[in-house]
Amino acid sequence: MNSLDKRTLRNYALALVGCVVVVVAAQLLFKTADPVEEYLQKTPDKQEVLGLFQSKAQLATTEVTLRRMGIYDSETRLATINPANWRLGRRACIMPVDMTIKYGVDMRKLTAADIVIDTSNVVRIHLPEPEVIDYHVEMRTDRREVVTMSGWLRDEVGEQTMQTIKNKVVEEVMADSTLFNSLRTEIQGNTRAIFRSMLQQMGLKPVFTN
Amino acid sequence: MKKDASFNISRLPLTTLVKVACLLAVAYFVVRCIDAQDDEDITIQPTPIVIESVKPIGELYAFTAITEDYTIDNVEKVGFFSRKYYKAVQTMRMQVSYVLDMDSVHYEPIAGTDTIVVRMPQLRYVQTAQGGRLLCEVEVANYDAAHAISIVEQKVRSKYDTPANRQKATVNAHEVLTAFVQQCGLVPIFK
Repeated sequence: MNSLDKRTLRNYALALVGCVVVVVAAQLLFKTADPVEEYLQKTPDKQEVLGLFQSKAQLATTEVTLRRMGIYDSETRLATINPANWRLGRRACIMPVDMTIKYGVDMRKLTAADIVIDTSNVVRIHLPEPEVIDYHVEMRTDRREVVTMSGWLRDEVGEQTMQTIKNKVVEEVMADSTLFNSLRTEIQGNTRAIFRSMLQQMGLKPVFTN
Repeated sequence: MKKDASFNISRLPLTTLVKVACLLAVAYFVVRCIDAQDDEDITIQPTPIVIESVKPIGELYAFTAITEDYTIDNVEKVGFFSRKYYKAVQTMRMQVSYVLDMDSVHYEPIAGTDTIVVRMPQLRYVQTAQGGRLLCEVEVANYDAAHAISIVEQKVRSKYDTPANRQKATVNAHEVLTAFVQQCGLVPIFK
């Protein structure tokens, strides 16, 4: 074997060792905790805290069906020193998020002072303020309605990202007081209609004071 | 002889080509490694909320719990040379409730008395998904979580839709209606 072959072989070996070192270092440096194991370890606590039935007296009177487009568009981002926060290339997803929100009142907030009965069977009733009773988000994704895009350096957009988008949209919709305020009059009207129906069946004549 | 100044890849030594290829491969791998998915990275652009329908209902929520459950599934990722299976956890946050349809409750006052007969139908079990997450080591574009979601929903239903819970919910619904009817100056009898 001549000296050139030896040098070539040495270069190959060095390149190979270099690659292995860099790959191992990158994996050690950027390795995150296994999300699956992490979740499974937390689960029992969560179920203990959340899984208890509670008696309620919430009267849902208005069901609102709505849709908001979840638009996520991440461009290249190299602004930070930490390479773990770098994002190379574009990754985008546009998807509709369908939700149903039920509004109504808590009947336990009706105190004796809120219901006054006259001798002529007229009931003066002061209804509690409306609130959210329940909401539902459609977790199943209709792929025909979703547009995704990702560069070759980015992960493809999949179910994981879509569910994160849904959660974020739901958080924002539930925190949006404008939606609630725009529906307040309608919710109050529907609540009155339900109480009117109940009280009339009881032979009483309702008068709402709010 | 005139020297050719143009670049010709075939004239480069093999070792240099190998080194360049290795460096490119490593760079690609490193970038893929750091392309970790985190919720903070995903920000949603502001869009309007479109109200599709508003309808009146009458449902008394008598018994409610917020719960979270999960199922483990396998996610298949097909690479250039191989296919790999990863473990994925589909979690769901749900509100489970027993609901009384108020339109089906009938009140019949007994003439000449303060007593009123209340006819109440069976309570309905309702569960609503309030959010969910798919946790997996890799993101796979063609994975459909519908099956995993159905499994979690079924798990929650079998855990909470029980005769004992229904009984408790019915008792609570009686208490709620009794309190309201009594506030209206009447005495209820449930049938």
